[in-house]
Amino acid sequence: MKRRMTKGVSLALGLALFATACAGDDGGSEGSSGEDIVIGVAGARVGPIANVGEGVGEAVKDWFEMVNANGGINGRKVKLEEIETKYEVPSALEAFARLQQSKAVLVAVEGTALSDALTPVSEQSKIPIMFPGQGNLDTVDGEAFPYAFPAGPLYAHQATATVQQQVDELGSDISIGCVAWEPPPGREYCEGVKNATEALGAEFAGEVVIPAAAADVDAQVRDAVALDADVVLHAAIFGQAVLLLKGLCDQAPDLPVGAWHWAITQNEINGAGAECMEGKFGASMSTLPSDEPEAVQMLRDYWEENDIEPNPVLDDNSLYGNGLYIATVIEEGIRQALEIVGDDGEVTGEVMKQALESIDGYEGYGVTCPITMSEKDHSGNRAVNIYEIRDGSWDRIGDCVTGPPVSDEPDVS
Amino acid sequence: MALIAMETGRFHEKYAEEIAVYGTPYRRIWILAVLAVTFVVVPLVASPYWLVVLTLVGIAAVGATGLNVLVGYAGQISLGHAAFAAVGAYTSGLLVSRAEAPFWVAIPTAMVAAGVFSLIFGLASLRVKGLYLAIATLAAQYIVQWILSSWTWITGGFQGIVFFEPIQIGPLDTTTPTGRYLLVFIALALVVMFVENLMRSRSGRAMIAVRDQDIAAAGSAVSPLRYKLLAFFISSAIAGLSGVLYGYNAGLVSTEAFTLALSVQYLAMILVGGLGSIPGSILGAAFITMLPIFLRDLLPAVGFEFSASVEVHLLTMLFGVAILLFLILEPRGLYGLFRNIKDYFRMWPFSY
Repeated sequence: MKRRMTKGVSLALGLALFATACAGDDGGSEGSSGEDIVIGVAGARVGPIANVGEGVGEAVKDWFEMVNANGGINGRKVKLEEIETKYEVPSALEAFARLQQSKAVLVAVEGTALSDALTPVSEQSKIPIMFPGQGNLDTVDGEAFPYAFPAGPLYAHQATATVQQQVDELGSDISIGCVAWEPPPGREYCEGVKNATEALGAEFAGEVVIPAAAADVDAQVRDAVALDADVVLHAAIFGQAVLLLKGLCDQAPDLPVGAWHWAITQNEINGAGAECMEGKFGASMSTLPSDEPEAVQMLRDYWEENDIEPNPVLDDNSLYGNGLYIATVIEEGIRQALEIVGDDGEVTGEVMKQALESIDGYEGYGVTCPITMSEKDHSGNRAVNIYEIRDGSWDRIGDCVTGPPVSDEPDVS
Repeated sequence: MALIAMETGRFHEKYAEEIAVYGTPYRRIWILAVLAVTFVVVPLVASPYWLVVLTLVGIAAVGATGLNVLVGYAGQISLGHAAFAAVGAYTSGLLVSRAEAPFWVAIPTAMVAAGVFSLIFGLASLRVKGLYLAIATLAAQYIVQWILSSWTWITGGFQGIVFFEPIQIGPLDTTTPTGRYLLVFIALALVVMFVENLMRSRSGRAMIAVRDQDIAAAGSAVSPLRYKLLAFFISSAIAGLSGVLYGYNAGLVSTEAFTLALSVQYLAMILVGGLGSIPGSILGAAFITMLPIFLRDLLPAVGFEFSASVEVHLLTMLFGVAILLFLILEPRGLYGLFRNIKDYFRMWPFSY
């Protein structure tokens, strides 16, 4: 009986798998036949950067729902296709292939490991990938990586801008230490801190590294305090960031602590406690939703007018702002693409590349610092907003701050 | 009339028959058919998307087959195979991109490097077993991850990105999905042939003897030291090859590609597919790689539409449940299931 059941299950699974294979191919032709412009998202709602995946994924979805409901972009609707990657490279390669089959003309990527892995395949398939606020510093060079678009401040840029803001506020006679999450983004952030302190005449007090899978960061807290720095900047994420902040509050309550843009969420305030977090600061590539930029107002108006329940992620996860950054830049890219090919013309990946490279001084409905890209320079901008916690919420204290140039960055001038 | 259903009524009378690759004439035909489908039919009829998916299955199958040599045949365990794959990938990538070595030099060198590196941890297998050995091999994972993120003079930066010059020899063009598929499946075919023959050799039988009872094996002049280390070397060299294939498939490697999760996935593949079985490694790799895709496409196909935020968590849960069910219902893995089905039809209409 048991064996029969097992065989039956396996036969059903096999048949369903075959049907799935056929269904997958059908999906491709459907995607290519309509007038819609297909935008792909290689999502990461599950896995180590789930908080990013949720914030960004929900914002991009909400934005294009609103855009489509308002008639699309120059009359063209946007079909958004998100495929989950769990922040795993093989899944990202599969997702990209599926999106290519669906005739996606651009793929937004969440996570440095994924944007790195998809860079060669995007070039082979001539479909641009866009990954603001993450990724490899070398990709700012549009001639070396023609289909990779950071389109926003990379980790080192966030670090240099934050150091600049601290030097502007406290003077150059300060020492700054850095706590890095062990994976490359964290290390690159601290390298940026080191770089900028040297460039601005401040002192680099040293680096402390948190192992990627560490469940306890007591040792790193002690090491960070032992740096005896005037300011500590950190590139920790999520649970580790909360543990680090709590630890620093206990052991060095008066130490000014700043964060990169993945750690200025409500999680840190809720986790470490409002009292601990008061006065802590951080950088954000986007204008936080709590500042109610025009893009957020547009969404709220749209939800209210259409009697739609507002998405709670907007208020609960400040990384929603980064999603709006990505969505508005994609929208502008599509608008530029339609200027190139005409409102009814065929938009391809190559056209989208051209379109993104023609964006000039775009501010994304108040969500982004001005973005300009060219064939040579894909960086978009190197600016961040600086926020400080006052009365339990993030309060903007610096607008579009840019730091000194990063020494290892390709020359794209 | 020759028996299409093969084994029934056939008994081995000589040792040569016992270890023959082609147990029956029809096995040769089956193998040729599989090769024809793999290397002729699939590249001609599969869409680029399915070539990408099959390529990922092939890379995983190479890694899983390598791990099966160590776990399934030699009875050792490793949680460091992603690290050995990383050693292979970085050795090959650096040789190709920095030393401008041709791929046919870089790939074998990378395999040897991965194999030699694993011997450091293989030595631990002489003193510890089971979970203790698993933790010892876990050290490989941490050491390699630390080296990749800290020794930037090797990797060229914290991202540790090393690009792979494409291979372009006729249809074997790794800038195309077909070329990548062919490269990976040629490698898989060679690995399968090697491991199949290894298990028919004295070394293979010695590994199995060490697995089953190492003290008895030592008493029979089979050196556990030698064969455990040999198993580590071969297994890790094949893992290194899977790392190389990963690099050629993606066009680059970066430090975040070879995580502990990959080592665990390799283990899941051989457990789900079937320990100590080459087809099991391949079936397990296909199962673990394709099940999430299958589940993702199945839900809308049967009328279940969820928001993205609900769907991803539901799929993750279903994936876990499916693996659990397989392990409970068929502990011998997919290959055990396949053999059950084959036996059912072989004995039909008298099956029960």
